Amino acid sequence: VTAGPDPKSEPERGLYLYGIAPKGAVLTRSVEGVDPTSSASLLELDRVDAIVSEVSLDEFGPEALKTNLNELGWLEACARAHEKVLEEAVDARAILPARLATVYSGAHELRRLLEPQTEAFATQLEELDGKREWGVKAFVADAELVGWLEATDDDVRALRTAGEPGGEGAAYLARKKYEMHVRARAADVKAQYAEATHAALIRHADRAQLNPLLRGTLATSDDDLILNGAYLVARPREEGFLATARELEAGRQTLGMRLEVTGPWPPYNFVTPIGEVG
Amino acid sequence: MSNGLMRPQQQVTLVELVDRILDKGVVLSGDITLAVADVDLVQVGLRALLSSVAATERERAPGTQPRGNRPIS
Repeated sequence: VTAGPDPKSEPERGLYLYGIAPKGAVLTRSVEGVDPTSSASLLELDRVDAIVSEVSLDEFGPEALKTNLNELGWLEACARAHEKVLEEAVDARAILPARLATVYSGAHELRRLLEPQTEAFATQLEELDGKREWGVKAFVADAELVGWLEATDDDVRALRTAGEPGGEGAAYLARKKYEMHVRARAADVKAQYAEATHAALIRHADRAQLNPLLRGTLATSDDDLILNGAYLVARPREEGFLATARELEAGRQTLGMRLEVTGPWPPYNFVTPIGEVG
Repeated sequence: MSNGLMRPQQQVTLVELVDRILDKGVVLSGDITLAVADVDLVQVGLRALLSSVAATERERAPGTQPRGNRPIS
């Protein structure tokens, strides 16, 4: 048992950056930061404001981050708090979201590192003014698609029944031929769906970004992901965008297609990685 | 219409969120984060997520085939 004050009782504090907002942005309410002992606030910079909160460097210092980011519970809590601040703490015409875990030792260091870039931030914010990001994933359930092909595609139906009277070898070959044909037709139809879906959605969007089709462990569904798009949509056009998404899904539901729409998101997919330049 | 459209934010999967927050957005260097420039923190986080999702899937569906090997019908 030690006596006297613990020299470490006052942990060092740092500043966590959530994103950049244009001048005129206001705090709407108090939202807990990634370190729940502090809530988010705006820090004035030259042409823009930084959305920040204080964090304990016991938890967000370099060594601690290496460990903490490896713990899924910590990572999830941090990611959700980060997103919540961007969604709920600030009323702004646009926000440049920062990546997770961007930490400064204080307001002085943050200003020193960000002031040279505020002109570029302001330009990007003007381009993003009044626009939000929506995510659209299109999935196809193979079993339903194959059922539809068998019901509607003459070639598929013919191959399905071919070779039935023959011997075992002929039946095997016929089966193989059928499977190859179905697979090729299914791939064609999926490519068509993906292209048509993207083309219909992009008519309502200012910009679009096609992301890799997540497979294996990162896949969120057993169905086949055929489109993973992000769309930057101006607010007055959001209604049309979402209505189109609903129509697309309704039109192809019997064919095993499903759309997953998420958002609105801060424009994660549409910011230029300024920090990587220079 | 499936209930996949317009799901509440709480139900947005962690994957969807982390995919954006770790992989996208403005990349800026905080001086504290710079101090660990030898380790790509984003990669650390993604690895943690990947191994955890993989483990969950193994628990949830023991013995299932990888997607690519599943018969088509």
